[in-house]
Amino acid sequence: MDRISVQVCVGTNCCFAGGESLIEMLEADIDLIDFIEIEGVRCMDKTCAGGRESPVVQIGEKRITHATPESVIEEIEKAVLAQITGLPKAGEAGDARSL
Amino acid sequence: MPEVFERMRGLYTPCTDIRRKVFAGITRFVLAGKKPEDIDYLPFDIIDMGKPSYRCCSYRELSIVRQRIRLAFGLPLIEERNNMPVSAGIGEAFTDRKVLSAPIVNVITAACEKCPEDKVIVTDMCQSCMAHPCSIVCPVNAISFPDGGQAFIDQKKCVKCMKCVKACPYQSITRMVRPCAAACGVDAIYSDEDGYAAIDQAKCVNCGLCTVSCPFAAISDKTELVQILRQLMGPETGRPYALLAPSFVGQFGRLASPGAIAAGLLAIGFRGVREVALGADCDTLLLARRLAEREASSAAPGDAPSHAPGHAAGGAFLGTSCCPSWVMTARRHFPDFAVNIAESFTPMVETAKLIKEKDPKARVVFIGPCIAKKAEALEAELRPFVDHVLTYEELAAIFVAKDIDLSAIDPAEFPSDASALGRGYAIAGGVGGAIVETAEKRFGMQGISLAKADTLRNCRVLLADIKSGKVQADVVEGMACPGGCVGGPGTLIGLLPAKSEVGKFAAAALNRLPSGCDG
Repeated sequence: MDRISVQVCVGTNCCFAGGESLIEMLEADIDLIDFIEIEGVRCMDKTCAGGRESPVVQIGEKRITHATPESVIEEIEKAVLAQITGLPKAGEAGDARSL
Repeated sequence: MPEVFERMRGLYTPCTDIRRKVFAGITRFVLAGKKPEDIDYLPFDIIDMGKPSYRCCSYRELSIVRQRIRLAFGLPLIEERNNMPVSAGIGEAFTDRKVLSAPIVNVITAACEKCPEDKVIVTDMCQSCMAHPCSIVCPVNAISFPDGGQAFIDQKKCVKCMKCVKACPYQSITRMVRPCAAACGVDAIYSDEDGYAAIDQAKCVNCGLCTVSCPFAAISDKTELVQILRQLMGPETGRPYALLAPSFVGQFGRLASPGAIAAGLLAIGFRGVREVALGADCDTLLLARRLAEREASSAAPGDAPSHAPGHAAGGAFLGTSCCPSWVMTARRHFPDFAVNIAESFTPMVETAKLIKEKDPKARVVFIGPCIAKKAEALEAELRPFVDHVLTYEELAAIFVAKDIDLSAIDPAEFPSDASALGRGYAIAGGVGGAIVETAEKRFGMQGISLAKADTLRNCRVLLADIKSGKVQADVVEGMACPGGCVGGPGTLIGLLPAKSEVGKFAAAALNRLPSGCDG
């Protein structure tokens, strides 16, 4: 099973809004850690500019703004479930063969 | 059970959120060149009237945010009952001169929830069991079972011995202590006549751990953010130099290298950047030399070689002097030991001196994790050296307001003149360790013993043990914050990543031992 990519913006705006703490929380989550690949990344685009939507997290194709540990974990759980059950990921067209 | 201030450490809570929103809001306000009287409108940019997000109602949030703005300007709190506008006297804080005054740490009464002071209570887990060991072990017969139901503790009788807490098979009895008071290692927090937390300023040593431990964000420190911003916006000659405390590494995110942080500081208007680890080197050399001199003077000819420079009379130890809260605590609680604490200047001052020697008119801003340094820099004898103090969190607000992204900036060259041991001052054990290692490797001493403690409560226990003779040591290191400076209240990242980043940066130093402090 592929690990789910979780990219957390650690640009200055997002760090100020808790980006680094998010990574710390995720790394401490022993239930999820084996399913995900966490990466601290630069600002992905202007979403984080001015800190108005910080912190920003990208999970697969899904962009989460104003991310909190709760919202990020919920999204990861959805993605993990989608992978296990073969259901289409959020934002992706359904593929009948995999069902 | 971890200490109260370690339970929330590294978490981004709504308390963190409101603090940072106020810092960023004020910074944007000043950078936009708004007029002092416009400050009355600032709270509405920070909170959403009609949509309370932290408290029961927006009006309470409003009055708390007003107080936070006052403190961030470096001004005293406004008297709630006098109905003063937040802008009262704010004009005088719109300056590039120093306005900060004691007390640094303040309780915002409007935000205080009057938590019970210290109480042993029975929770709903009580099964009113047949054995009821709680009442059996209670030495003062404080526990009864009204109507044969759950245990009840008579607070007038209870002596908080904790025997019932330990005896209960269901862990249903717990001791509730105010987080602010539990975090305070010098017992400076009491209740005023209305039950609100209050700080006994005669006892407070400004460690600031209560500010990050209150789950209602009801305690806050004053800042010099506005005055420093005014300098950064002003003419070139009045712009300050930045001194980065050894714990700075990694604080602004994993992609913000020391060079990137230096570039960011230059980009917001600082004239230059120096690391305080250099001043730490001065202190290490000074104290190691003092140990060597004491040994030389105590080893009279003919005597057996004495490598322990004095254990007599409760310990002629050499105490570290870099943590101002530890120094104040040691001197107040153990006046006999005042002479043991080295009267050297702190690394902050030693580094500031290097700049002021070259340019006496230069302004110097110490940037660190520390609230106690704000108070230290108010002392008359230090005023000529250190002009202002900023925390990492306050500095980050400037980066954010100026839209400077340290993860994308072109790094500047970082001055690499401090030793690995100097850079290690940020971690508990690093100061004492540096002194011992330098004394041994540079001054040929042997078998120097080190005793150390972090958190003021542990520091007091250590000093009591030294006084009673239970502990003997040549060097005693005290740190007010858990884990050392990396655990300070003005930090941005958790303790473990902070320690690891500081360790990596220390390993990258050109020299392990301090070579000098000529800058």
